[in-house]
Amino acid sequence: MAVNAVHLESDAFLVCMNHALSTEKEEVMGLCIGEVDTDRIAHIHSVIILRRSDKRKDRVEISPEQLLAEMTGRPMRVVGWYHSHPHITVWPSHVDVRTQAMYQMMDQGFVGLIFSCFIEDKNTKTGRVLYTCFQSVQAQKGSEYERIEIPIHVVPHETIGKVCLESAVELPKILCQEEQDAYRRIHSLAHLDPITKIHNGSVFTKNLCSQMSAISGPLLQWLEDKVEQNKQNIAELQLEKERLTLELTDLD
Amino acid sequence: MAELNTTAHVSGYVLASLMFHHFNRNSDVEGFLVGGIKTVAKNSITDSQMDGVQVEYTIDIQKHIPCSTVHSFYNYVEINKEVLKKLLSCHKEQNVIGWYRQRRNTEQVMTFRERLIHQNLQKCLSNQELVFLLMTSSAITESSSTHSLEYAMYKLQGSCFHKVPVLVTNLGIVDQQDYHASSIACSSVGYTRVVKKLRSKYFNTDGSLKEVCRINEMSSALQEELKETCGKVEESERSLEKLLDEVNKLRKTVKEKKKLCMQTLEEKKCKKPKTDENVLLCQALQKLFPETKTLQTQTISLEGAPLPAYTCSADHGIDISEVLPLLLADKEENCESDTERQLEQSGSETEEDLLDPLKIQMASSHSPTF
Repeated sequence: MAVNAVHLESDAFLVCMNHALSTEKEEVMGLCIGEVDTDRIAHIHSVIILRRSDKRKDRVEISPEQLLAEMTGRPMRVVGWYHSHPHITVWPSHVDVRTQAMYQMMDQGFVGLIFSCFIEDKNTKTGRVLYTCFQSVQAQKGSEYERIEIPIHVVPHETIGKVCLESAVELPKILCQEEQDAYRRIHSLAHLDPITKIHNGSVFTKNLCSQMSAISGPLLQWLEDKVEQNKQNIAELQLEKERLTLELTDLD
Repeated sequence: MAELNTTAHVSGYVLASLMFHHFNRNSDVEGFLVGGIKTVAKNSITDSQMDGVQVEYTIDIQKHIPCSTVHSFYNYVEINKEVLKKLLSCHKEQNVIGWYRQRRNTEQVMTFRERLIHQNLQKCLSNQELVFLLMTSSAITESSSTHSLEYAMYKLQGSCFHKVPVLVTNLGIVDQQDYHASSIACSSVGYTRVVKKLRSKYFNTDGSLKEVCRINEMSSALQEELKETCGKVEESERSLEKLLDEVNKLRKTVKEKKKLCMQTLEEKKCKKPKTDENVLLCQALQKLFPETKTLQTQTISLEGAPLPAYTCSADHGIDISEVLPLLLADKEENCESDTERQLEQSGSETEEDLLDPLKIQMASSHSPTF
């Protein structure tokens, strides 16, 4: 395999998890940004949330052209992709393995991450989130591909990076754009009667309201809480800094 | 008969934030949950009963307050009320709905200690509905390619802890109705007349729907708010990052300086005062009593007898005839001294036999015995 392990920074993990937990009705996906070092360890510093070309609920991929455009259009290096498996097993499907193999043709160090969420054991009333990392290799028999495991470690990153923050707040924008595109396509149908148009307008309103209450609202609350928490942490750290400076002077 | 259904709701953002906090610590983490409780009673009429009541009890987790260190608000199981008060100072007591713990590579089961802490917290916070969220993480493959994060909520009912299902609120919960792509076929004249008459209340002159424009405005305004708050978070994260870096460097420097101080102190303690040998005395005794080893040793046994085995036979390079001429002159005069002859005699006695008389002499020694 071209990659020995993946080190995913915790703030990048946070954005992936936010994205994966945003909906249980369909799979979501994004790209992993970072670099591969000389020990063939892929370091993922941030992620980018993507709009999907294929909006089927159980299929998520972007075309190689779209991927290449994303890869070349950005100053940072794309080292992998991630997607979610809501209510289903964390292991990649044969389509996922084939998609990964296709991406590896462009970059053999490209890795795939899958986040399985909304798994609930009704008997034990325990919820679960799983994440895995993989690459694809040609199967020994036949022309199919098979999965190979890549060790993944989430490494600490005390603060949230700028790119991660920007990616996190991109989600409501993307969802809104997707909904506006769907509505525009429907509204442009000239033959629709007024009642149907009003109905469609209500559907649009309802969908946008769902996005605002389920995504924008909780996201805004989390950001505001983070500002407050950071204020407290900064105040405590400031006190500790003064104390340590005094201690250092005494030791000198 | 009332049927009670209890569920806990948490947004993906709060759950992910909890996980993020744990990833940044190499130990267990603890904290408190803030939110609210909603109770909704629904009447249900079925064939079997007229007055069925279903009570939906929803525990809504809105945020978490992480503790900076583990075991911070309790001593073993006793709650430290002052620390607790300080931790929860920014929140009303009634909004604190529970506490949480995150552990690695452990079972998804409350420990005995956690149960006791929970009971004591309930008394402290005067909240009998307090909940406990336990999150456990582990690698499920040997290669560490796949990891699992489990979460479950516990509530004390009577003397037993029961699990409360946790629902992660998300976009997919709400039914997304599909758009209609085909018209409703209706040829009624009255129908068409009413729609035409009231059309202007719903449509703008350009054919766009008024409510669509309004909701788009709301959505854009919310996105602006998000952008602005994100900017504030970014600023505070950078300040925090810079300060953390400075404090970590200071911590490291202080630790190194303390280590250096400790090392210096240890070295000073370890250095025993060197017992300088009285080389002049040693050389003089070697010269005057060359055969009497017991006089040339500084080491004595526990009983106080000199040990000839530890004799110093080193030549210290001191010429006694020059330094102590009178001493040697005295020796020459007394060269037939009885004392020296007695001590010179070597027989078949063992060291112990020789030392025995000395031991008898020293029987009245006042050295401490143990």
